[in-house]
Amino acid sequence: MSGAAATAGVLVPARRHASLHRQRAWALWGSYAALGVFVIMFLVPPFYMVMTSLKSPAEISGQAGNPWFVHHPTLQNFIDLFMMRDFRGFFLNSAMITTVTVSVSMVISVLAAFGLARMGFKGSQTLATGVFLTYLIPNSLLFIPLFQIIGALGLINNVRALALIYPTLAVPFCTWIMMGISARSPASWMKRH
Amino acid sequence: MADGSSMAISFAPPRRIVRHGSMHRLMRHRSTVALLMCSPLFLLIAGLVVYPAIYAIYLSMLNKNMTEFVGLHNFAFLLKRDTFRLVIFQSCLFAVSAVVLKAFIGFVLAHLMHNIPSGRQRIWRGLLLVPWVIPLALSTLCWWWLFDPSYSAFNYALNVFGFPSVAWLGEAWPARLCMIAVNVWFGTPFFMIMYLAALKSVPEQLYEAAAIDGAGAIQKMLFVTLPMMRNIISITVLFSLIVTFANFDIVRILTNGGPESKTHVFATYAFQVGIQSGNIPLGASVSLFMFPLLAVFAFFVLRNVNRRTKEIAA
Repeated sequence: MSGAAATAGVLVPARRHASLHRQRAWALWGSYAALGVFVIMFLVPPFYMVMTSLKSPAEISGQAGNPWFVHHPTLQNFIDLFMMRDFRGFFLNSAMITTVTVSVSMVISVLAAFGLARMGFKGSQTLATGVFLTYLIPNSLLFIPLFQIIGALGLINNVRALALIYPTLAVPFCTWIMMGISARSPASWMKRH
Repeated sequence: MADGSSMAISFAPPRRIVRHGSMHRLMRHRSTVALLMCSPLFLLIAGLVVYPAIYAIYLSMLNKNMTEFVGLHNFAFLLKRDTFRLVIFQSCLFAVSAVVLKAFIGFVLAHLMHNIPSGRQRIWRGLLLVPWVIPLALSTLCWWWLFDPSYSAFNYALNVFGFPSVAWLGEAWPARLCMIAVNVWFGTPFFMIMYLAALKSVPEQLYEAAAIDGAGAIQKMLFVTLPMMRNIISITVLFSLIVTFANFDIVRILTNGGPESKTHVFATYAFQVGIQSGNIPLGASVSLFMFPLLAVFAFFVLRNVNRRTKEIAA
């Protein structure tokens, strides 16, 4: 009995190893295939966006042929866009709002995260939980009162209102992420002695 | 960050000189500095999150001209309206099915990603993150073109395979499913990233131990992976549920609530009632409607997460 098991034990590992290897390879290729399918599905809208941006207005209004591909590619749309004075204004607006939002929310959230996570004071744990909880207030709840507040500040239809609103929505999340990072960062330079 | 480091340096000398008596005072000093560092955050949250939230509750109890206090009358009025009952149903359908699908597909994708060698993961991760990186309003516009009834890419593809065209956004149920699909497309990458991080943090020894005990792939998943990922799963589901309930862009751009208010969700309906039609108190009541339920759900999820964290720590 034990002898049989021993000889079987000598033979089995090699065969088992090969089959395991084959199984792993199948799992690997299966994963690649499935991921490929998902990537194709995920990239359909961006692909269609690029294709449409290369079409001429005539080709779009012609409504003939396969809409998934561009038949007479042209860069005219992009050229027109950059020639448009309005668009340059919009682009600058976006860039400015993004810069202001990112810098304001970074300054506020890095300072606060450092204060909350590394310089623990009395009640800092409670406050950290409070910051986390504000992220649970849905934006849709805020936009009507914010509309009133922005109206009271006289900022309706003003780009500057966005520089106030966007950081508000971003800061609690940023602080929460930053708190994790500053709690993990090396503490040596904060040592007491 | 610069402030933080300079502060640490300036703190060092006095501590070295007076070690014993003034420790207490130093701590107090340190906590004042920390409080000062946090004050911009608190000001912002108090002024533009907490105050508006309370203000919303106050607003929801006023009459249409905001001259009289009417208590809960607005909520009672809303509940009597068929349109609003439909909005409740649609919001719940939209949020719950979108979150479940996102969580499931994200879970599958994270596992597939975890299977392939880590050197190759980068490019695949990048490709799969594309939907999450494009601004939602712009990608929804692109989906709107894809769903166009007359000469759209989707209908063309259907016709090629011999199926009739579908009025994607023209009828209630197709439009609802389209909204869910766009939300799933947009939100899945976030779930994938969170779950992938969670999967990577599961210690390999646990799987080895399970394998020695004779666990198969399904058992490993049920008794090792899922328990280890439970906290991440519940927190991502909670966050996503809140964000999806508050979703505005997709519905606004894709259908704007139509046909016949059959695709409105809380946010778009609140916008229409409160800001476009000018009945701000009623709009505030609409946007407040979901909050108690979400708050209760959040309370239980966070309590469970806390308990499990303590169990792991103990």
